[in-house]
Formats: sequence, C-alpha cells, structure tokens
Amino acid sequence: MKRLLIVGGLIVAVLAVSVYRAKLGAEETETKIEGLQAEARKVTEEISVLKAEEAYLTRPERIGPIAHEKLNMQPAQPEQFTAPEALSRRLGEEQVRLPDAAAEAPADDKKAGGKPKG
Amino acid sequence: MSLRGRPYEDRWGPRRARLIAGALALLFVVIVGRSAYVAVNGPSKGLNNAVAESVRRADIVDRKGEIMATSLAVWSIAADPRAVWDGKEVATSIASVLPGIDVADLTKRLSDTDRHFVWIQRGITPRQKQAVFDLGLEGLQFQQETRRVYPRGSLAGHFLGFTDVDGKGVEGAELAFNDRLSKGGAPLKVTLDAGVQHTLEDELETAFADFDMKGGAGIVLDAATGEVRAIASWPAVDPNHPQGRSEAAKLNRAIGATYELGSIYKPLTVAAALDAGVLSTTETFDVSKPIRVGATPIKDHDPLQHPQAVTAADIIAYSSNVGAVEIAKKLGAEKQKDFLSKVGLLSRLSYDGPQSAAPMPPPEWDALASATISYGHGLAVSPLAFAMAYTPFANGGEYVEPLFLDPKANLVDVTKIEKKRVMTKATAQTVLSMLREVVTRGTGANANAAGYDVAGKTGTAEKIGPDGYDSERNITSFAAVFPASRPQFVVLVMLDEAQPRTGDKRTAAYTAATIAGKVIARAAPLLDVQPVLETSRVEASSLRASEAVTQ
Repeated sequence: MKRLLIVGGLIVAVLAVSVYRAKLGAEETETKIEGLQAEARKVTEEISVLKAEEAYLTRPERIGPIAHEKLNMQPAQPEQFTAPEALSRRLGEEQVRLPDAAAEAPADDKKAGGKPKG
Repeated sequence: MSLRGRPYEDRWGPRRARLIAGALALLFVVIVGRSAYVAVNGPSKGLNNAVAESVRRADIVDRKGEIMATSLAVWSIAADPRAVWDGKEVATSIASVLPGIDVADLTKRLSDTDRHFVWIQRGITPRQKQAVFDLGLEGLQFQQETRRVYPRGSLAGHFLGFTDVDGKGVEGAELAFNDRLSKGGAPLKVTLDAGVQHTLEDELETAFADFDMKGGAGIVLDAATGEVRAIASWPAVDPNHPQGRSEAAKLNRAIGATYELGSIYKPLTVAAALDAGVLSTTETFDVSKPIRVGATPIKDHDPLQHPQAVTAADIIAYSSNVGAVEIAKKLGAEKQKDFLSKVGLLSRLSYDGPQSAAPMPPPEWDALASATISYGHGLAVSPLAFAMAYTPFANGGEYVEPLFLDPKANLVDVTKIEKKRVMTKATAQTVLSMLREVVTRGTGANANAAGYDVAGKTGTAEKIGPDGYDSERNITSFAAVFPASRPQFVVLVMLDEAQPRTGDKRTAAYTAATIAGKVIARAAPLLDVQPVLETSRVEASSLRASEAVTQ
C-alpha cells in the first residue's frame, strides 16, 4: 500500500511537472505569436505608408505634366482609335512600311562582315 | 514547574516561537499558493488588459482600387499638469520644435494642477515626436494614434469629406459610411474612377480660368447602373486641411445645394408630353410672339429662324421658352408634376452615400409655375438629382438611382439593379435623337466631342436677386448623354455666374457646353468608350459593302 502510494505520488508529480512544462511551452509560443503579430502590424503599417506614398506620387496632376514633358505624351485622341476590322485599311492609308532589313540588320552581323540579305 | 511559576520571558518564549513559526508557515502557504496560481493562470495583464485595442479605420478606394483615403499611424503628445514643474518653460520648449503651438494657452493649461490630463498636440509625425522627446521635458506622455490621410489631395475632396481628430466621419462619404469604415477590415470600394474624377476637376479648373465663375459642379455617371464615376464641386477642397478651406469651398455644389438649372428641363417637358400622348413629333407651334401666362410675359431671348412653325425638335435644338410653355400647357400641370416626380425631381433622393439636398418646388403648382418649370425656372434641385433624371434617355425610358458603392465589391449583380420605367422606349429614343440635334444643329455645338456622338441640352437660368430674377447673374448648365448611338453615360456640368473672359455671351452655349464637351472628349477613353469617327463609319460601310460583294 505504501509503495503504491509512493508510485502514485511520483506519477502525479511527473504529470504535474509535465503539465507545467507544457504550459510554459504554450506561454513561450504565445509570446512568440504576439511578437510575430506585432511585427505583422508594423509591416502592415509600413505597407499602408508605402501605398499612401504611391497614391500621392501617382496622382494624375503630377503624372500628367511629367508624362508630357519627359515623354511628350498627350491624352488619347479619338482619331487614334479604330475598329479591328478597319485596321488593315487604316494601315494602308497611313502607308506604314516594314523596317528596311538593311538598316535594321543586327549589329553582330555587321561586325562579322555579314552582307545584308534581300 | 508550571508556566505560572516561571519568569515572564520563560513563560512566553515557546508561545512566541510557535506564533512566529505559524505566521511564517502561513506566509509560505500564501506564497506557494500564489505561485501555483500564477503558474497555472499566467501573470495578471493589469491595466493593459483594460485598454481596448483600437480598430484601424478602413481605407476608401476607387473602383480600380486606387487609394482615396487611408489611416496612418501618428503620434500625439499629452501631459499631466501635476507632473509639470514649470508650465511656461515646457510650453516654450515645445513651441521651439512645434511652431504651431500657442505658448500662452499651453502655459495656462499646463499650470492648471486640478487637471490630470491635457492634450498638447495630436497627429504629429515620428520626426516631430522625436524632436519633442529629445527635449527631455518632464510630465509628457506620447501616444500612438491613427490619422486619416487623403494622399490624392483635393481629388474628390467634397465627395470624400473628412473625419474629426478622433477619426469619426464629419462630412461626405466619411460621414455617410462612418459605421462601415469604423469597423475596419477590407477597403470601402466606391464607384468613382480617379482618372475620370481628375479630368472633371481639371476641366472645372479650366472653366474658372476661362469664365471667371463663382462656383461649379460636374457629374459623370454610368446610365445603366447609376454608378457615379465622377462628382466634383468647384472650388475644390483638400480634406487633409478642412479647416483651411474657403467659405466658397465649404459648399458641395454637386450634392448639397439646389439650383434652378434652366432649359435642360425642356427635354423632360417634351418627354412628358410625348409619353402622355398630347404631343407628336410632327406637330408645329408658333413661337414668333411672347406668350402671356397671367400677367407674366414669357419670350425667347434669341428668336428662332422660322418661328411660325417649329417642331418639338426645333424647340429643344434652339431652346425656345415659348415653345416649352406651349407644350406644358397641352400637358397640364398635374401630368407635368407626376412626370417630374417619377424622375426623382420632387423628393429627396434615397441612396447610400452623401445625402442630396431636398428639392425646392414652387409653393403652388399653378399655371405660371407649370409654365416656368417647363423651361427650368421655379423648381430648384441638386445637380445630382437632375443628372439622374436624364438616365431614362440613355436607358430606353428606365430611371435608375445613384450608386456610390461599387456593386462588384458588394456582391451586387449589376444586371439586377432596380430600374423604374418612367417613359416608353419610343419616347426615350425620340428625345435622345432631339438631344443629338441640339449638338449637331442647335445651341450645343460647342459640346461636340468628335467621335463620341454627344447628345445634350444647354440651360441658362437667371439667378434670383433681391428684386426678382437678375439677368446679369446666370446659372449655366449642360446635361448630356453619350454616345447617342449606344448610350452609356450621362454628364452634367453646372457653372455659377460664368462670364466668358473673351466677351462671348454668358449663356450655356458658350460656357457649360464647352466644358462638357472637353470633359467627354477626355473622359470617354478612360471610360472605355470606343469613338466612332466619320472616317470609321465610311470604312465600316465600305467594308460591309465589299464583304457583301465577295459573298
């Protein structure tokens, strides 16, 4: 009986220690999760700031003049649109030519002394 | 030997030892118990547990996901006056790094030791916070908060509105959708298109440069669904600095104000009469002489070319007041009232979003009121309400209500948006073709945007002054549907006291129509409207002809 009590007590003690260790482990994990959540919040805030900056920098009143000055871009004019079925005729009207093969020969060919084809 | 017989110290010695041992044992039990409790339940979270974590206010984005309003982390400085030794020194030091601080006021507040908490400055940047921190002053507290930011500046400023310092919506969409935004979560997607909005606001700015106006408003909406793609009021307002706005900028002219919009009502008069069966398209009217309603004479400011026999199409194309009154007389006041009620002009609109001003109908809908309303005087409505009244002309006779929340983001099936039939399809198509004639041969020529088949109507209304209507002060407007061949969008431009700097007449034909045409020409590509040019029409027809030959 006495031995049984001692063994039982030992088992209870081991179980108690195990539960305590498991709890400590859970707390450590919880702390780690909280840390990660805090980091995620910080990154989210940084993303918010970056998105706000992007919106600020891409506002049309800023981009418009830059596109005009640097790239000579203009708002699309109605004449620039056409129906797909009318495209071939339109290309004909504007006499669009394919680039001259001689002028567009790759630089490597010229270096190699290759003769223009066609 | 009994205890009684012992000396005093000997008698109480063992008892005292037992008492101390018992007390220590009890203390040990309490410590072990508390340790076990802490081990099992974890440490107390104390005050931090009592502070609820604030929810980040949801962003507002346009229909393409572009950020219109967002919340960013900022710092606020507070102080406990009881912990401040010299209020003046602290106030002066803070003012050296935060120049906007009122030193006298802050000194007074910091010297009031009956208070436990005073705000010093809210919403400062991390850099400003660091500068104050580096001063090393006593009694200061730094708190992190969120601040509402509008990164696109004044873009859609009136529509967006703004929040107070506590992040609560005060005006515009911030107020209208405050409950939804306060809950945080996914961004609130509105129907506006930032590109179209910019175009509209830019052209209103141009209007000011060209016409020296007092104010203006513009609206672009998808006629099929009622989705508002752009809505602007001029002068613009920057919601980042709402306190700095001028008196003129405080009013949202597109939604929150009502105007008598003039002759853009005439197509509604004609539509009502056609639908009621009291008018035919071939019927002619004599508008050569002024017409008298009671004691009031009504005349045309610019007489028509052949005024003895004009059709409804001529009346709209050349904007004849006399003709509109003649049609209204045939229609009758009751039917006119019923029709205007059906197109939403006699009651406040019902929708989710910044609320529209209630219309101002005449006190009595008598013959004179009916006559003047037929050409747009005597019934004041908000520009938004009026723009919606033109949707039936684009929808084959069906009216839709304005929509400010993106239907796709809110899982609304756009094909199931409620539409109300207010006129027959034939009537809508007839009036639409008349509106097209306004641009091709009438007063709306300046609104012609090549390729976009603009159909619309000019409106010039005199403003009410102390002595009645003032011919020197006008509201000019242009209401349009485009493209007329396959109607998709409604545009309304309204200018308050626009005076062309070139010396042209101050009528809508020279002011609002010009601006509306520019808005359409620039906005149409952004709205994915394919232009149809005359050359393309010829190309398409010749292509069809050649295909027919080959077949």
